[in-house]
Amino acid sequence: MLQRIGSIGLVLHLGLVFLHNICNMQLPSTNVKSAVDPIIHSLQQLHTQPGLRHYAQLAGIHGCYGFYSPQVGSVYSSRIEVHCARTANVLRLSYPGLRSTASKIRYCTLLEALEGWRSEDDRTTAPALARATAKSLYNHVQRQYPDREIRLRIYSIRIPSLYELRSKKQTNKMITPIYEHPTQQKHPLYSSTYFW
Amino acid sequence: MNIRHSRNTPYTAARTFGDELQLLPRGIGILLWIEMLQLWPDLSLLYGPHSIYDTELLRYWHSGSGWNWEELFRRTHPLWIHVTATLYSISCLCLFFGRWIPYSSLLLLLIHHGLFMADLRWAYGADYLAQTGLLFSLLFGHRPQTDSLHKWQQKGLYFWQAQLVLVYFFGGLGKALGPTWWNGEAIWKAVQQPFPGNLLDIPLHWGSWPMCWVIIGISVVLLELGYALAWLGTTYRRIICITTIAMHVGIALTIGLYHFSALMIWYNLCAWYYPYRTQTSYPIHKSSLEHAVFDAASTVKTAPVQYKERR
Repeated sequence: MLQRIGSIGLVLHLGLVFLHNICNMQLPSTNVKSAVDPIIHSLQQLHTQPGLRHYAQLAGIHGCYGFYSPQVGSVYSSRIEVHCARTANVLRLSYPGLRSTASKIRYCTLLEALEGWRSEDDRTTAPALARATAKSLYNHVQRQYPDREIRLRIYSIRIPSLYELRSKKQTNKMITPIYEHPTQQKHPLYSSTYFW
Repeated sequence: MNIRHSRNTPYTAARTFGDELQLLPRGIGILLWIEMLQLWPDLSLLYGPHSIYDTELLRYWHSGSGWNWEELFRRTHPLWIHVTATLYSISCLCLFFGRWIPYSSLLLLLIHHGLFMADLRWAYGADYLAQTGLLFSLLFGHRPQTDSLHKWQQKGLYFWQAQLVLVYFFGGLGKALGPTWWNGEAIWKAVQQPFPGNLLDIPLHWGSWPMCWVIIGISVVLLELGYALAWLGTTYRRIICITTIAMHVGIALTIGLYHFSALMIWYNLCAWYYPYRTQTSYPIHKSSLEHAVFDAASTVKTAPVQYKERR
């Protein structure tokens, strides 16, 4: 009897995996979207029920399994410059004090999770959470070097597409500064050859 | 069936299909422990009052489910982060050595949830999959003592395989819905923007062979969509298992996601390789004999069917 209940529970578990993935899937065309919208909407209502949501998070099935899909997103990196006025030395950090590779990977995913660093409406301004995150990183470095001038920049790295490489339109990684704290200024584009 | 009896070294009957799911928590334990060891030097920067992330922003990263350990860390002594990490590590080691598996799995499930599921700042795909693996360890990772528990573990193995089939199928479906995996752009972009620590850098001039990237991209999509073919028989299972492991080795080397790759390789081995290995007898110095007798009887009875299944 217990096994039967357990099996039913696991079938429901797999059903929930199915539900979460269907609801989080990014459908390609608007025609398809409009056709299945009512179904998706009712499924979304179901999978956001508190009980199901809490269980899904406890089981680690609340996310969509579409890693790198439907396309690979942009990659971001940070650079922190710590200027010492007395010695005119500049200390450059890519990560705010993180030492291990595992932590750096998680830091990179945090930068990527901030939805592009540029809002949809105004491409010159970063979304509020991204701005607040940059400020938070800046504050942390400032606390470590209280008497130094700190500058934090967030860069977007653009990989040349296969077509661009073939047609020689872009042959190098394009690194664009997209956000700066404390002040935002216009910067020239950087090429990967002298950025790293 | 290889059942040996000796006065000095008692041997139990062959492992039955599904017993190999007991290996799942061992691998998860060691992999999560290695990850925690790597995070250890930076723990106080990731969590707690000295974190690189401001307290007032935490609510934006709370998943809305469960207890966020970070809120506790912010209010207490920084030492508690390391105490929690120590508990996490001890649970991992218990899993690895096969000790108190249900309790260790439960504790690890709760701590992992608190650190990576409830607080989304430092979480990524591997953590979600590790959480699911811990749930299966909790349900199926223990040593079965009765026939009924053996059957439960056999079911568990099929459910574990189904879980992986869904993971890969939806991974493949998501990729197939966009054009970039079909024309090679997505796989090219993925290997060109590695995480820190990757071993193999793909030179940019390799982009001048677009057909290679088209083939690799389509292969990845087809492999993930066709992952369920592993259920069709030995040949399909071997092909799917080997190619999937090869894909994860590639992800580790070129993108640098070692933890994710190692976890997925282990999951695949537990689902498709270990359960189908040739049965061998093994010593039972520390296991109960009545279980062995029962196991032997049930295995002999259904041997032809099981042998066919395992091929």
